[in-house]
This record gives sequence, C-alpha cells and structure tokens, in this order.
Amino acid sequence: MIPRVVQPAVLRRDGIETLRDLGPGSEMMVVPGQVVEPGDVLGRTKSGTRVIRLPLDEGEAAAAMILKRPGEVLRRGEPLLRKPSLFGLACTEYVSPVDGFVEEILLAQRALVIREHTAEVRAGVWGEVTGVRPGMAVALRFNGTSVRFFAGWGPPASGELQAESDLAVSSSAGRAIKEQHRGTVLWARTGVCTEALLEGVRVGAAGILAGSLSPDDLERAVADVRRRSGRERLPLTLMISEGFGTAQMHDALRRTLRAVVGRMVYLDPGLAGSPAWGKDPEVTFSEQPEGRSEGPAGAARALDAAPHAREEDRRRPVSLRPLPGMAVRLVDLDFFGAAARIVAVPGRRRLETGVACEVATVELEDGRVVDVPLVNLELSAGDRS
Amino acid sequence: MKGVFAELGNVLTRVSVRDGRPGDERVLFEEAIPTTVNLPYASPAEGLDLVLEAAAPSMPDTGPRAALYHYLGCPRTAVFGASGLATTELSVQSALRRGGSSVVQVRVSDTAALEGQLIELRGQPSDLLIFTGSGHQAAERLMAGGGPTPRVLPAMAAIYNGPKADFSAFAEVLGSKVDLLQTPPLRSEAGDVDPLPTEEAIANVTARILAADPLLEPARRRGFTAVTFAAALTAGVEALSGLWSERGPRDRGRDRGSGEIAYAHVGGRFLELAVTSRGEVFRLASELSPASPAGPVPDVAAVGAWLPQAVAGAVLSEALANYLRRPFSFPSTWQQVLLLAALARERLLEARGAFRAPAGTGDWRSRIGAYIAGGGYLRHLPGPGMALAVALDGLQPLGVSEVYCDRRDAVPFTGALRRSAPAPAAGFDIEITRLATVVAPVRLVLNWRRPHEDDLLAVVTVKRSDGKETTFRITPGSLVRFPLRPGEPAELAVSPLREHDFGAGPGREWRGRVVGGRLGLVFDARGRPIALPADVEVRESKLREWLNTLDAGAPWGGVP
Repeated sequence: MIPRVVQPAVLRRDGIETLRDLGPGSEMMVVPGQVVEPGDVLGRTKSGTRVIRLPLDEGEAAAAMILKRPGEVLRRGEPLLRKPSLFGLACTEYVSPVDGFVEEILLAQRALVIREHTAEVRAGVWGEVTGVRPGMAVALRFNGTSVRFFAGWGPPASGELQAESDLAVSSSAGRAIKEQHRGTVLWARTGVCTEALLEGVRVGAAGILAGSLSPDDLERAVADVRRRSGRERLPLTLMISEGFGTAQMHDALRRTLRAVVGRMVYLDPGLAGSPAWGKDPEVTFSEQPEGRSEGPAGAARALDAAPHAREEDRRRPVSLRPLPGMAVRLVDLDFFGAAARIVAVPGRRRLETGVACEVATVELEDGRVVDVPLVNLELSAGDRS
Repeated sequence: MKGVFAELGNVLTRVSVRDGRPGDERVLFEEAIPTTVNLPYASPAEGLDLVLEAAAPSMPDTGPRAALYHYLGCPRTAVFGASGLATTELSVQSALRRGGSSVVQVRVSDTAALEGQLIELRGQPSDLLIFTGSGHQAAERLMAGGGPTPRVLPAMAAIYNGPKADFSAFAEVLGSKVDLLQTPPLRSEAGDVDPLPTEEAIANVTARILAADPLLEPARRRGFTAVTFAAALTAGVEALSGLWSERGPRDRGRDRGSGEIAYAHVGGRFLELAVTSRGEVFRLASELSPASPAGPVPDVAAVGAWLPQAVAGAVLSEALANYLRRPFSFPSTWQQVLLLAALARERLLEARGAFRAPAGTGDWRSRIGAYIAGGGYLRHLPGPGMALAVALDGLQPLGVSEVYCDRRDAVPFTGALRRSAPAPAAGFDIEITRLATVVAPVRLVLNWRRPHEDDLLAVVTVKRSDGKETTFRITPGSLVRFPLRPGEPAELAVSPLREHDFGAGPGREWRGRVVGGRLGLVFDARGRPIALPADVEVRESKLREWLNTLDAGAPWGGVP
C-alpha cells in the first residue's frame, strides 16, 4: 500500500498553488493569468443558505401574507412577505435580499430559509489565477503561507485573525468572544466547546480555528442553531487541525498563526462533495507585494505578459518511500493526529490481530516508540530528510 | 490464466494481478493508494496512474484487463418519474443494474419540492437523464433554469422510455443541449413491461461515458476495459446465480431452496445490495450522506451496543468521526477491529433495512439461500470468525442459508471481466469463502428481561457422510456451532417445537443436505431482529460469549 502523501503542515514559500473549491455549478469571475487581491471575488457558489427572520410579532402571522411556498424560486428584490398595518389601510412589503429558492418556511420560529443561488468566494491572498475549472474551482498561485488542517465545515471565508484564546470551556468562551469580533476569525488554543461555537455564531464571526473538537459539541451547537433558526448548518466556518478529541493545536501551527494575528487569513474548509480525505482544509495568507496598493474589491487586473501555469503543467502527485527520519502524521485510531518521526521501517510484521502487514516504527513527540501499519501514516511531501 | 484488475474506488485505488485457476491464494500481486492525493490539482486519475506504474513489472503481457469504476458512484443518473409507478421503479433499477451507483429520482409529482430537486440537479454535474414519460413539466422547468451540466460528455445524454406519442414534446423541450435517445416504451401498448431496451441503452451510454472520462485515462492507455462497479456487481451476482443453479444439488453443496442470493457490499461511500429474484437482480445503492455535522456517522449508541467492552460515548464518537475522515486507516489492534466490526454491523443493518423488494415478489428475506458480504469493512477483518460475526449480526439470515465472505471482491471483479471480455471470463472461477451454513428461526422475539415461554425451540439431527448422527437441542437466545469441516456434506433435520419456523413453515420440519463452512454449521437462536440485552454488563458478556463461540480471534490462515 502506498501511504497517502500530504503537504507539509506549514508550507511557506513562493509559488504556492492552491485550489479554491467553489462547488459544482459555480459561476467563475476570473480568468487564468489574472492578478488578484485578498478582497477580489473569484466566483459565486450556488450552495449558500440564508435564514431570513420574518418581521412578525405574536398574532401577526395570521394577518400577514407569505408570498412564496417552499421550493419556489426567488429573485433578489422580489416580494416575500406582505404585512398589513394601520388597521389594513397600509401594507408593508418585504423583499428577498438574495437570489435563490425557498427551502423552508418555519412559522413557529418566524423564519424563512432561503437557499442562495450565489455566495461570493474571495481570493483571500495576493496572487495570480493559474487555472480555472469551469463550474468547479479556481487555482491560485501566491507567495505566502499555507497551513494544513484536518477537517473543516462551512463555506470558504476570510477575515482578520484574532489572538489565541481559550474556547474549550464555556466560562472562558463568554469572556473571549465579544461583539467586536464580528467578521473576524477566532482562534482556539485547544478545543472549542458548544458555548463558544454558539457565541461565535451570535456575534457573527467569520470562522473559528481550533486544535480539536468533540463531535458531540458540534452536534449540540448545530442542534441549538437548528432550534433557533431552522438552519441545518453553523453559519460560520469551523476548522480543526489535529482531529476529533481534545488535542492541542501543534506548536508549529501555533507559532505560524501567532505571526499573522491581526492580518487577513483565508479559510478553505476543503472540497464539498468529494471524499472527506480528498483534500485537506487549509488556512492561507500572503504578504502584500511591494508597489501594489489594495484596490476596490472585485477590481481584478490582467498581468501583462506574466507567465502562468496551464492546466497541463500541473504538478504530478509525489510517491514517497517512508524512510527513517521522515516526519509523519499518524492516522492510526490509537494515536490519531499525532505528529511523529520514523525511526525504522522493518518491513512486514504480524500485528496483535494476527494480520501481517508492512509496518513502520515511529517515535511520537512524547518520546514513545510504537509500531504502526505503513498505511496509517501520512507522509509529508515537504520532508524528505 | 492471469488477469489484471484495477479499481478506482471511493476510498482506495487498487490494482491486483489475479490467477484464474482455483486455489487458496488467487491474488498474486496487489498495490493500492488512498484515492486522491492531497497536492494541488492532484486528481484520482493521478493516483490510478501511480498504482498502475507500481504494478507494471508484475502485470502479465497477455490476459484480460478490467478496471472497476466506483468513484463517486459515477456515472450520475437522474430518473424523472412519479413516485410509486412501476415504470419509475424499473428505470431506477435499470440504471443501477447497467449504469452507476449514483442514481437519484426526481419526483415529478411533488410540485412543492420540485424546484429544490432541480436546483440540486443543475448544481451537480451529471451524466445521464432518464425520462419515463410523466415529467414533461419538470423537464421544462429543468431547462428554464439553465439546464443540466454534463460531467464528461459534451452534451448531456438522456433516454426517453415513455409513451411514443409524447416523445416529440420532450425532444422539443430539451432542445439541442440534450442528446435525447428514444427507446421502446418500458410499458408496451399491451401493458407488458420490458426494461431490456432501456437497460441496453443505459449500457451503451455508460460505455460512451467511460470511454470519455478523463479519470480513467491511465487505465485506458494500458489496455484496460472500464466497467462501472454497479454493472460489474450485477453481472457478478447474475453469474454466480447462474453458476449455482446450473450445478446439481450434489455439486452445489446444499439444497438452497429457491436459491436466491443477497450480496451486500459495504464501502466508504456507498452501501450496495444486490438481491436475486427468479434469476433477476434487484439493486440498492445508498449513498452515505453526512447525517451528522461531523460526517456520515451512524447512531453512535447503536454502534456502541455491539462493543463487548465499555467505551465512553464521547470517546466512541470521536474515534468514529476520526475513522470516517480517514477510512483507509488499517485496524492495528483488537480494539480497533471490534470498533470497525461494530460499525460494519450497523452499515449492513442499514442496507438490509433500506432495501425494498419489487412489488409482487413478497418477503425477499425469507427466500435468500446465500448471503455474501463484501467491501472494505470486511476486507479489514482479521479472520473468518469475525467476518461471520459481522455478517450474521448485520444481515440476520432467516431459516437455513449459507453465509459467504467476498473479502477479495471476487464477485464484482469477475462481473467486470464478464462485462468487458466474456470469453476469458470463463477461465475465472468466482472464489468466495463459505463461512458457515446458518440455521435461524424465522420469527423469534426475545426479551432478555424475562425467560422465553419455550425452553426449547427445536431438536436438530446432523448425519455426517460417515453415517455418524448427532442430535442436540436449540434453546432461545443461544448461538451454537457444530464442527462440520469446510466442504463436508451432511444431512440436516431441524424439527421445531410448537409453531417455530426454521424455513419450512411454522411447526414443519426442515430436512435437507448442508455443507460445512470455515466455521461449520451455526445455529443462531438470538431472535430476529437479534435481541441485545439492555443491561450493559449482561450485553457485553453475551457479546464476548458469541465472539468466542464463533472463534472470532482466529486468523484467515495463509497469507492475509
């Protein structure tokens, strides 16, 4: 079995290639060779969901007229709700803020769920478009840093990274998350508890980065959001770096993120609709190139005579042989997410279950030395020591 | 004869060189890689190229080469039809038999949800649309919203199998953006239903899609013929069914009754079930959707109930969520094996519960003579006892039936060979492991909190080929093994007490010829559905006892 090869946890160099997955059927707004800035719109996805709170008080629901039924298409500006006022002498009309279709009408919660036709995906970095897969994704090349995460939820998002805080317990989450964090990216040292997720949703944070997460906490947060608004997903982007559980974010990642606190970062939670391991989520950021000032969002410019990679020039995947000294990440369920270094590759051995397979002896960061099947290692393409 | 098989799967991309002759070790070489590698732009095609390169020195120059295509269940098909109509159901079945595993039904009569369904369809590139004649308005609305996006072919392929008179109206609505093919109506003027022309049309369109799919280019370049997993599984089960019915009772082992087969394949993304009924194969392909925000995790408490040792709920849900994010990780300890076996049981139960037999075929479960379990979950189990424990608990056979494990995916691979190169396929035997012949009462409800009203369910007599007879009793709640050697025939008589039914009818004796599997004969009187004790300690102790009975710690033997 050939082990899975992944990018290094932190990739800092010139010419990083990254893929912005917009989801199937997206509308692309850039062309290959175009130079982009963090605020530039790459395309519009068709997967966003938005909840519209209906401005109805107790008892008004009966008199008001909801003009759409579930499944009906909506255009931006189209009337959604007509509410009589002044004893029926006047009428107020409320219109849809987006294009989409009505997914659900939740009268009890006085909410209307709209599946948006469009949600804008921004570049998040200073870079160049190197390829466009029509209706699917945009490839970018940029000089900067890409930080590999383990799992992510929500749409791609960008925002200013906040300083590291403790979001693992509810008492500190309330203190750490404030109203001024609206539109920013929160950063949790270890895990993130249900209360912190809900507080992040309440203040309108763009995203939360954490080391780990309990699936039960996530379930509870989603259930709470569903109960309040009828939405099935958290309205923010959440990414964890180590795995499900209570692990702390790896030191190298923390050092890297600490250096960009206060700057814009881009959160790419991974490919929607592909296998969960198809592409790891990543956080990217870049420096503003000298001599370039940030223009208005969406104002993309063509780069004169700049060479750009074509689809055919793309890099082939790397097949690596596991060698002693190589840094790896374990996906063995007993040490899931642990960083380790290969000590030896003794070959085929019999496991305690009686099955013989290729194993590697690895040293964990806490000094323990264990044998794990080769397939339970993820090799880093950037570490060939 | 040697054959080379490749598979572009949802979890693994594999290549194996297999020997067609019967024998213990049929896989001569195997190499695999987790599907999709995580580098910018990397695609499953590049992973396939890597494993094919690695396998190149071991590949024979001659012999058949078949590539199974299972990635994302492609080709993606959407069937437009009214729910509950035979023409809709048959079109879905035809697509599952000859197309891919990803088949969605657009419920044209559900006007409230239609636009939502069409938006989903437009948002996801697909390969084939099938119109059964009742979705004219839906087709209009589909095109009005921008039309579908073809995944591989330049124009979206579509098949119309409704009444002839309505074809031109559909063709006009769909216009030039859709390449619409007319087949003879599924339901003829006389009212007869014939899905064959639709199946042939689906097979032809699928072949065109596979020939154009860029993900399969590395296999095509090396002379492989690509077949979808769905079509290969259907062909494999058809072949097995034909093979077993051709052989006389003496050769085929035991009297299988109606001899129907249920093949369950549990993979990382799809649950597949193929059930035969009078020579025809009916299919279920259920895509595992992320039911919880953490991923496609089933009911954690239900999975935990199959574990013979206490695991905290939070630890279990974390382990499951981690595993489902990296389903190619290999279970290296017994604890991990038990966890995956528990998950596999729940997956099999899900497939068994979701399958709906076609109208008029009655209760499909009571007619099954052979259960076969395969897929990634079964491949990772370390021995036949554990595989039987999973298959028994997940498929819960009724009456007298044989339980097999297809841990090498021999059935779909042979099916792929039969689809791609029928002549060489004759040289390949389908070799699957007979785990046991299982005897279980058809209707037995147990409650561990109080004793069953009968102390005894049946008296069993096993007469071996050397004439020796053994008689014993089956009691409620028991799981008993009789050590009949693999391949050894015996005469079995199950005489039920009162109205208990062991497959011959309530209170009637079942008598016939049976053959031992790796675990001999197994008598399973744990109830249907299997009753797990509510008390945690009692349940864990029972689960341990059952695993010991099935010798779940024993390895496969030979090279694993």
